[in-house]
Amino acid sequence: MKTERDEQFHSFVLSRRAGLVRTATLLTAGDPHLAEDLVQSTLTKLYVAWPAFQRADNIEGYLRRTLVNTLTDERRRWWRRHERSVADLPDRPRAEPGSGGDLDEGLRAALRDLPPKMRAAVVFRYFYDLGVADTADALGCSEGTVKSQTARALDRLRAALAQYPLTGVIQ
Amino acid sequence: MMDLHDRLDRIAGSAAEPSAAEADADLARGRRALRRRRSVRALGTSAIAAAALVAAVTISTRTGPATTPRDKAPAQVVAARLVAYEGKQPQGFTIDKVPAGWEIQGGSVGHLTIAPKNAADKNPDVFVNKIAITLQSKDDHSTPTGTQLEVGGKPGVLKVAAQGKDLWVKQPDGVWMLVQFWDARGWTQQDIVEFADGIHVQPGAERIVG
Repeated sequence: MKTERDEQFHSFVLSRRAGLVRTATLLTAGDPHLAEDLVQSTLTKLYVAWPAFQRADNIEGYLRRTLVNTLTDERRRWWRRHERSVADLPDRPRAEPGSGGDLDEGLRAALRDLPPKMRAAVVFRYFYDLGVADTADALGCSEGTVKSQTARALDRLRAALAQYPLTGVIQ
Repeated sequence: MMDLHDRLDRIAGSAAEPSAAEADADLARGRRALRRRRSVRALGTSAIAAAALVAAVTISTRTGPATTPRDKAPAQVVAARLVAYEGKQPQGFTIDKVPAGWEIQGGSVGHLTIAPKNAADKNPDVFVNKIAITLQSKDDHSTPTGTQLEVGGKPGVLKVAAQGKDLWVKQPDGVWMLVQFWDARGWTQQDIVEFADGIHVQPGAERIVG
């Protein structure tokens, strides 16, 4: 029998899961399997802490923090390091010439080389357009750290993608 | 030239809307986790109950699979009875023993994953509720801290996490090997050392980065 918590959680999953998968896919540098695991783990944490989640002043902030905490959990993080040992991602169609697929693969590889929090900083700042303060809140660090992390991340992405200049970023 | 945002958008993909069945599965996982948490808390308030749990775990690890319903206790609690491993040996690491009912799920020259044969998750790159073996990351220059012990004559360090344990074993070349027990309940220190003593790093094993 479903409780009120169950009903609320079920509705939440139906309305938010697709977006969470997209975020998780970026946070795991495009690995669909790791992204699904990250989403499942995050949702499980949310269910366990559902009353606190519901009471949170900033639901979106709480959600981002839970995602990042799950991503960077030391015991989970260990296996994320193996992302780079997987040469080819299965179940992914090959890019058509001129479709931008090569660029995507290059960026995916470059993201994979970033430490998880640095990668998360890039995702929140340059994909979700979050401010420095909100990104700092999500990452559980200072605003200064966000600035330095994003600057270093962009330097590393630029170096890795030398033949494909990055645009649309303002440090 | 493409904008970074556009490139990230392509990588993020277009996730499909979840089905009711998927939401049900998420809900079931959440409910199981909540039940486990409440069970642990309830046990924590009673020394007698805790002692009974330890006794039950000890008995079950020595006599085989427990009869506890799946939802009431994780399967890993009963996994510490070690038996000789007779299957195909992987590339980076070989093992002498394996917990009864477990198997080598997969891995690479950088890591090895051991899991229950009936594990729901068959992805060897996911270590939840499994045992994972690797060498210390090239980027990790720290010295493991925890309980000092010896594993087959080699220096070892045992670090206790919430319900899991990490055992570090220093190899003759100075590199640390990590054996991560996601859920070490049911494993005595002796079990852990005995298991790790049977793990052999092969010349082709590679240290991970990151």
